[in-house]
Amino acid sequence: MVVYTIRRIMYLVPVLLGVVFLISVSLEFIPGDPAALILGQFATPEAVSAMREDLHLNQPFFVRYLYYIRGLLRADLGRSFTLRREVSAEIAEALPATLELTGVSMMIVLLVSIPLGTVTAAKPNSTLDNVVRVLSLGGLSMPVFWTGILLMLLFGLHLRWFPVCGYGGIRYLVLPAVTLAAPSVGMMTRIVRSSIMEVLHEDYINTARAKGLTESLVLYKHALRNGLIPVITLLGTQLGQMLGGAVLTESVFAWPGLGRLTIYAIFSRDFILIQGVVLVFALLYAITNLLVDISYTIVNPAIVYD
Amino acid sequence: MTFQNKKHRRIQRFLKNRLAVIGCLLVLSFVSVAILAPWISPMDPLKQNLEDKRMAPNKSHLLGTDQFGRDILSRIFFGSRYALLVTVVSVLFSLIIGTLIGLFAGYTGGHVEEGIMRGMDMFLVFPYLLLSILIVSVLGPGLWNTILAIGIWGVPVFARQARGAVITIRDREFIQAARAVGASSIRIMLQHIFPNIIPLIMVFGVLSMANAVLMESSLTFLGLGIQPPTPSWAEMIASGRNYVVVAPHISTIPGIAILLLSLGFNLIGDGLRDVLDPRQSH
Repeated sequence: MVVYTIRRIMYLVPVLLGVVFLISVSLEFIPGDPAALILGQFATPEAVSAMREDLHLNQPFFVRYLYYIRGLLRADLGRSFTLRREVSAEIAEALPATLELTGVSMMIVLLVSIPLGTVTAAKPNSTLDNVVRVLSLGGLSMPVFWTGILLMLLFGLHLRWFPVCGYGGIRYLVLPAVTLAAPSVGMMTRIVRSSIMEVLHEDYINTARAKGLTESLVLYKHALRNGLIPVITLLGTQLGQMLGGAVLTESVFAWPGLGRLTIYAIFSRDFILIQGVVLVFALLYAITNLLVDISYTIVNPAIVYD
Repeated sequence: MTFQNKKHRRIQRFLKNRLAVIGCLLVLSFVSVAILAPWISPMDPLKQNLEDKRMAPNKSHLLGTDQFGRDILSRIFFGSRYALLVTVVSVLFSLIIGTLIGLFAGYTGGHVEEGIMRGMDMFLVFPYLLLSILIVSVLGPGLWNTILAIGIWGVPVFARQARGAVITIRDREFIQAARAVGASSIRIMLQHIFPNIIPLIMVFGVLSMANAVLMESSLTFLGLGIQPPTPSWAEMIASGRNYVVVAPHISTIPGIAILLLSLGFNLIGDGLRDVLDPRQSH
């Protein structure tokens, strides 16, 4: 278990090197000279060539890649030239808002989808099951940003229950968190349902029933516990979806997180900032997947990794 | 049971699934609207008429007009062309390339397989949408770059699915028999293994289309996808946002089109999975 955990953490290293590599390669395709882009159109040729030297642009790609890695080891992601600040400082400021948003959304997803999935698995093809089926398919077919606009119109502008946008206390969090949760609630409800239905066919469930246990005890104690194991694996993928959805949600609700920083970076063509933000997104995703894998071994001791 | 018979029963079972049939109808109606757009649209989707701007739905404009006085219904009709074009082309791109990579990796095995799949994993480290955002931010926005960005994202996803399916059949007797009679690797891959993974790839392809519809809208909404004045649904939503208080219909109505098209693909994919993948069906 400990060995496995350490091995899994070590596995992050090649993954991150790969991500940095991919990001660096893609930035090579940005048309024009990055140094000229940073300095603007009125830069003197001398200034441009000094900036090229600064950014190691005269060096081959691989050397630049190593420079970036060296910076990373010192938690130095470079300097944003449009914000005139360290990229790491910008990210440290935006990260908590994104974690807060995705964290609360994930709670909503789990609190809604596990009960719904379990109840519908117990009564397949009932009216409730069909309604939930259509609703969850609808939820995962809805564009996140549109859900956001609808909620904003209804609960922000008409009913005035919640502020329309911005960042602050829990009241500001409700609409963005529900928006971000909607597609994942749809997905997870389906996953929980099918996973529990599969478990309900197992022999030990029949044994439990034969012992005379009540149906709800069988369902909530025996089936739920085992049925949720495959669900945990898919939690990681869902979190990836939600991180991407956060970019859209933050853009709709003016939420000051990493997603909005990403969009800002892209539109101001601040490629050093783009590089840093995308890297942090990938890192977040990799770490959550790591946690999911480790918790998997705790929940199900029968799984042995070699 | 003969093959024909089995196929027939599958089609029958698919048609019995009411939701799947609704999905087919949804997608088919969008396809017909896309084809017939020039003839059924009441107005020119690009023609501005500032005197009639931001009109709520009424008799002459069934779904109202936008901030430039353009007819929203006509723009939705023409928008279905771009939605379907991006969806179909990007999914075909990832399906063909991804499946070929997965087929090759899975059949070859060993270090080659390991190397290819590790390379694919590298792309999957990016959370949903982030890789596509990175690609369009580098290539620039536009219709074809959007297709490419969504297509590239899907390649490793299809490769993993295909490889997963291939390794379950690569050691079966009929493959060994084909090898024993001297069939070439390419022939075994395409003629013996490929037909066996078609159902899986089909289900996955249709479900990917539901996803591609949403990815295109997301990129376009962020301003990284299809650019104005091209009538794209997400672009209509994005540009209508400034008028959401005075004219909420501009950015809410096109969302229904996105929802219905994506839902259509999801319903078909679901129905197909029930029919083609008995392990998953209940």
